[in-house]
Amino acid sequence: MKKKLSRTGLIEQMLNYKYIYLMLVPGLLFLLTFKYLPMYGIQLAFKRYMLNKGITGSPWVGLENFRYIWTEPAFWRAFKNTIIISLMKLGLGFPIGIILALLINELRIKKYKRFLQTIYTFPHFLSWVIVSGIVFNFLGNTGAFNSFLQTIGMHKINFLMNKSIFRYLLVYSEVWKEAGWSTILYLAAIAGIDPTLYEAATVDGANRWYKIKYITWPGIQNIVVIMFIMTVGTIMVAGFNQVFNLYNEVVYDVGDIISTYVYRISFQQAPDYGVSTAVGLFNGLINFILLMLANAFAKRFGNSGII
Amino acid sequence: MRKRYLAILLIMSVFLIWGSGSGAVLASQNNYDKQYTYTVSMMNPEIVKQDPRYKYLKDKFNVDFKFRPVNWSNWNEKVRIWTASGDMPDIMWMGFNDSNFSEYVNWASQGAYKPLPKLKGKYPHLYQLRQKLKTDDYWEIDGKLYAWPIYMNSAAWRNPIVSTFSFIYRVDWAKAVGLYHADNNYSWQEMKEMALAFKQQDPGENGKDKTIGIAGIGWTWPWFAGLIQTHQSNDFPLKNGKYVWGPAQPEYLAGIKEIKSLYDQGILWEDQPIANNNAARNKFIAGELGIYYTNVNVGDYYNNVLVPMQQAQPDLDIFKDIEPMYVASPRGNFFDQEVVDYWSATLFSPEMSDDKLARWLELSDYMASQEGMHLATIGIKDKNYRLKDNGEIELLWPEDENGKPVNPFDSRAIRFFELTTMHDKFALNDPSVPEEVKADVKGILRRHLKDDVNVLAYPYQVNWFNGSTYTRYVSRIADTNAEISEAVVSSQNMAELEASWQEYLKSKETTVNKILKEINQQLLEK
Amino acid sequence: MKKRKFNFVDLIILIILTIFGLAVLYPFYNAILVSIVPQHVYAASPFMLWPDEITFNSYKKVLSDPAILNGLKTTLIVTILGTAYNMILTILTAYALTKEIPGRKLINYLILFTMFFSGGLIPYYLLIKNIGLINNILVMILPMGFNIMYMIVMRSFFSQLPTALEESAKIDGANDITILFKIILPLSLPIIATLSLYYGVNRWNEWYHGMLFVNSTELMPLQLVLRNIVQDANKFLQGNTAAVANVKTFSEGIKMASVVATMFPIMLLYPFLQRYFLTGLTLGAVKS
Repeated sequence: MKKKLSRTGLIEQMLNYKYIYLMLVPGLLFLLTFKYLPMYGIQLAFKRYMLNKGITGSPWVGLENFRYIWTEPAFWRAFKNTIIISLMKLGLGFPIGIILALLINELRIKKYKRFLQTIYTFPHFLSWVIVSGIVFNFLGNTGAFNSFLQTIGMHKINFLMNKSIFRYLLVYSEVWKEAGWSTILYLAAIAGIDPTLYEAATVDGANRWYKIKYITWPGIQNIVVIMFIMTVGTIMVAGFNQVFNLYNEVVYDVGDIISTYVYRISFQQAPDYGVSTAVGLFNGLINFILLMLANAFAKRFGNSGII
Repeated sequence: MRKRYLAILLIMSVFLIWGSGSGAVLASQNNYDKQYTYTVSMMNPEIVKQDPRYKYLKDKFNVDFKFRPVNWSNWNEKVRIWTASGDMPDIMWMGFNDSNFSEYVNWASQGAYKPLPKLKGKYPHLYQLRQKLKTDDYWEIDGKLYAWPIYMNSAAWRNPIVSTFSFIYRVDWAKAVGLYHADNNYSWQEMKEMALAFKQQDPGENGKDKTIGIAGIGWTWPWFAGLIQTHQSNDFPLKNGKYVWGPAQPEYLAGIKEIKSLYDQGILWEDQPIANNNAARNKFIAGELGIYYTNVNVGDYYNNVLVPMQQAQPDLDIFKDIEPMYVASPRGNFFDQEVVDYWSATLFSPEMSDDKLARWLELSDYMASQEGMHLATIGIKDKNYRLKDNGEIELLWPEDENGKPVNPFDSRAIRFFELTTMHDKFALNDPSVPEEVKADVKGILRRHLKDDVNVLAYPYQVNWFNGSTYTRYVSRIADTNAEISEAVVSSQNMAELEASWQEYLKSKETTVNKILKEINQQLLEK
Repeated sequence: MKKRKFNFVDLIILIILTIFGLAVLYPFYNAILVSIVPQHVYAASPFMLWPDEITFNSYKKVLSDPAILNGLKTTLIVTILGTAYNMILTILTAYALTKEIPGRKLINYLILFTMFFSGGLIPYYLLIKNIGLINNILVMILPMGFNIMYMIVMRSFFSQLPTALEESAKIDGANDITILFKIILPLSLPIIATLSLYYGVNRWNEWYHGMLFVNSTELMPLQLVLRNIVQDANKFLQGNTAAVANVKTFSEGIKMASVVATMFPIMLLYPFLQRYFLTGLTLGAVKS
């Protein structure tokens, strides 16, 4: 009796929300078509792909593909690089956006502020294709920067082929392209802070640092946490477009990430789709766990998280 | 769409009936009443579409083409995803050589390509071409031919098939630094000294340290810089009666060390390990590079190296100041490696009907005939050339102000006309190419055929091996080039280089042993 | 905040920000210089403050090829249609997910799941082929439905809006669709503008789907055209025809001219966009 009641309650409730469900249709339809339909391909992780037999008819090989990647140094290299590069971007790149936003906010000259923001945000609009072209032109062996170093009597630096520099090049180019853009969200949040708070603080004789610490920072904390979770959620991604357009054979050791590795084994000679699917599956699993951890972490600290 | 075809068919048949009344010749020439449209992977399709020879072929065989554009930066990706998804164009062009012939075996045995019908009788010119092909038997899988290997028609008169790959160098610079040899023969050491002198003395006046000593066309790295000369590029050479893995041999490591020492001394171009195919060529054209390793294959060499170079540097005498350079290997002997007699292959979609393929093969057969070869090289009969009564060719090309014939066709369209056969032999007769260039090319070939040259035979048996373990796993050990680049640039010293190389070898050991076991079992027992 | 004296800290901030600005600006400036100088000037010193000699040969050659203009056309269509499509899906999904509907959690997970797991290349290609998107401009639009991160941003924006208006509209008998369009969206213009810009940038920069699924020169997106040139500029440097041969150029010049040419539309639009997203977003944030 009780159960039946709750079921009718549920249906009633759902009927109440019929327009809401209707709104979900286009989005879910998209997911179904372009994300879920191809997912039957995951079975390739446990198969050897044969063109004439199709994906479903290809022979099972058990865990052979996983055993292979388990013992393949190139895979582990990519795995390690993905995490290191992401952490470097998180540790070095992520705070720069926040600091930049705080600095811009403190800049008094309105027109100059606007002008600088114009410059800072512009690179965001460019693709990595363009940015890599600019980076090669600027930092290459015969590029402007090395030419400048030579003019002032210093030695050239081989930015693109140096294993100890390449990861920093990734961080630097990411900061160059995206730091200005990330300030926009923070600045918007700062602008949303009630101005009377600052006025009251000024009356109380609070200094600049005090205001940043007790008014500005709490005001942007929420958005910082959301951005942080999102970045952690993409740790196993590490930026295919960027790395793919910037890396080369010499720096595979420090620059090859999972997505570029998968790209190479899917497209270069004699592609092995079983292995590349297995790598993708493994990578997704790790990524999923990481995001869940970050989300739980955020929730513990009183933030709403993203789920 | 179908209606339109029907209409065309109707018009054509009316035309045919009318034609057969007026003369049997017309009917026999025009038996292509149904038009076929082929999808074809193609480079520079927009240039091909404007080519008069292309239009001529389309009309002659009542066919049309839809091109899927490919270029060097996406070609690898496109042909593979098409094949793997069963979405090949009707006619696809893909390179299968040395290390990835196994890919052909894999795809073909999985039904990726449409097999060709028997050629004998029906397609006499194609059949004849196939007889010439050295690798012919290897292309057959279970008795069927799944690809049309694009035969290089220059191969026939060089046996063994020596290559036209060579160093070329700036003679004017060599003279300026006082190291010039009139016969263009140099030892490895002499070449190194010259490269260093170019860099230090800067005869090209490029500024301090800006002149580059040695560089090569992108895809020949790292081989050209010391590896083919010391080890030569077999993946699985025969040693003491057994097949071994090339990269694990001591002479291979010696080759890498040679490259490393060139690189560290600054003799080799610092950007070479990451340079794309034409980067070094651009440096040579700009007068920043002294010694350039390239394929001196007449047409491409003349049109894309010498002509732009003359424009970039008007004071240069391109015929006197640039010469082939014959360099002995670090071991002292002259070297060359036999090359295969085809360049990539044309593949056909299994979805294509027999009749449709037959029409293409007729077109191909025509392209393999004398007239077809003339079409690809000198143009349309009675428009670009005339056949005299004695069989000689009278060229009708336009002439420049000096009375020299000018090739009326855009050289970038050539890929379309070379889907059947490669006309590299013609280049030596091309009237628009100066005699000096042809002489250089012939000189290189002649030099490579001299007795003192150690020509390594092409390892057909191994590279074309189709054992199941080999074809399945050989691509997993095909990343040696990347490893060499990394070791050469990143190691601080020879000991470190050796250690990192050993580590690489070790990581491949399991796979290599599997492959070697199969090769040795199956090839040595035969 | 009343006027305060410009003190030492302000000066430091000014200097830091100026240096960062120069670091962002100079590589662009250098790229432009390389695109307009002849080879010998570039070869003499790639580090330039001023062009010693100006030539537009690189541009002449790059723009004589229809590829860039074709690419621009394709990319414009993709950007406009794609952004509209993205926004519709994002708004609808995000708004629906702010409601405590039965099954919300499940849907959330279903969405999140797709962020991490995919079927791989071949089934994806087969799908695209089977629904007829190969060599179709829609292949650069439809598969990019909504970005999950952006959807979450939108969702959290919606959930921060005051619920009072919504409730009173409900009492007046308005349904959820009317509420979304009549009440929620007018309040959300700043976030809509911002996310449209985000999506617009992504669509504008599309090349990967173009590379895999477009099989004709006319339909290639701009960035793919550019990528092909940056990878190998020799298409413009080789060939035996007079038109190709007579203009003197060099590969770095060609590459940078293509880079600048593809950047140009954004540079033109940028001041207008910028005014909009900066003021819009700030206003919106203040209001909410």
